[in-house]
Amino acid sequence: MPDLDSIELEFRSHLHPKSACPPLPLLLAAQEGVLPVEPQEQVSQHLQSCALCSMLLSDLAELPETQFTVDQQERLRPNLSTPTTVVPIQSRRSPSWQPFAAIAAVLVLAVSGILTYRAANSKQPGPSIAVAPAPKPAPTIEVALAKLPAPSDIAPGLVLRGGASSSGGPTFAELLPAFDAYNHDHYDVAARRFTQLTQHYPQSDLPSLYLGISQLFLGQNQNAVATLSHTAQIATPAHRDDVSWYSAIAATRTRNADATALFQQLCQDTHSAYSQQACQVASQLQITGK
Amino acid sequence: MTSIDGFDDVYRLHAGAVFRICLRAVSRREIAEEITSEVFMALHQNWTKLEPEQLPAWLFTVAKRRTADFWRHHYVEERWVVEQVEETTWQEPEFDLAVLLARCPNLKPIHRVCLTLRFAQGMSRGEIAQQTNLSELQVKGHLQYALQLLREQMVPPSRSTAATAEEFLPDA
Repeated sequence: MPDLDSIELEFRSHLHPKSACPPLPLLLAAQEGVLPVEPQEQVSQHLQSCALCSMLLSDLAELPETQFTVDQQERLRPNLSTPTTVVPIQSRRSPSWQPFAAIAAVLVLAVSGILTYRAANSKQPGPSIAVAPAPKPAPTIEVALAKLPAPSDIAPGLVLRGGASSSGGPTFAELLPAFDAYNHDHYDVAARRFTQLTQHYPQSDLPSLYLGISQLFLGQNQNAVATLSHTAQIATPAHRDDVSWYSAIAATRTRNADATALFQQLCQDTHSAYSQQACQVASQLQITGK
Repeated sequence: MTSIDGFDDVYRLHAGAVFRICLRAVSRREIAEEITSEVFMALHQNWTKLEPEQLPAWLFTVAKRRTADFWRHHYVEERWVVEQVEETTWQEPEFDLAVLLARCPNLKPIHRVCLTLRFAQGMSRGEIAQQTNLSELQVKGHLQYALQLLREQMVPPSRSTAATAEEFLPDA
């Protein structure tokens, strides 16, 4: 059977020669009406006469919208809440800032958390444009959410055959589609697939753990709390540490009163891979809680 | 501006929509992120002058304006050369991609998108994957399936192949 490259080559050779359509970015920009006048007119005229481009735009509109992940939200927000410290755009384009971003984010968010807490407790009224009055803020900071890598035996590129699982959990073949979406940051798809797996295998901790993490990335914090609390009950020793860490993050995000205690427990656990981070967060939470 | 909570609420509520508007308009994730960031910086600077009912329309207007600024400065990078024609040797019979696509009702939007991006826009499978938020493997699968269906439609020229795409497009 010919491979896809050969099939494509053969198919291409039969396609009718036609003048080139505008590149997709121009088509989309014209659709949004943000091009300068001349190209906007050219592309609009082309769209009126080209069935293919019109079909492409209408089909693209049918596809699921790009997710604005919690990770993105967190990455951009520190620069917004402290405008005086914003790095100019040109330098933000350079990758050299990235190693410092996480540290900066934690520091800025910690300061922001303190300010938020103090502002909320001060009697000075501030201008309010908020959609709804914020609930009484529990002492909180935002902990940068790092992605837990997929288990090494489900690494991309490894060919696995789905056989019956000896442990009563999902097979590799069943896990792969969910981890494929997870590895590509398609957390909504991953969450859907992990949910199906947790329904089929309610006693398996792996899909449940990654469902909880996906929910955190989607900002579904209450769901993440419920999922991870169930995961904690069924977690195998190999995953307990990860479950504790992400449960603590979920607790912080939902302003759960136990958040500080959860980070303190991890901080005191010398075997935990998250011990050092947990100590930092616990100490920040204690500062904001004073 | 002391209401940090208020600003954060607005940011959480509307940042996703602003980002998607920017991404649709500029097609590049990193630029869309920068413009999103700039839009909320502008909101921060104008915080005391704005009324709650002006949101989120104000944000979307600023986003559109910023993306238009982007194109004003960068249009030359994406300039569309109308005369450009692919240098390919064609074989008889020849088919119009739009006509072929219209003849296959079994194709889903994602199949047509993958085919059009590949054969009309000249994108690599990796670029298509990025554009559609799919994995490269998924794009390959969609292309394979779609090409199989299209090849069944590639019969020698007859009255039907001479037809235009409009004849096959629903409600066209």
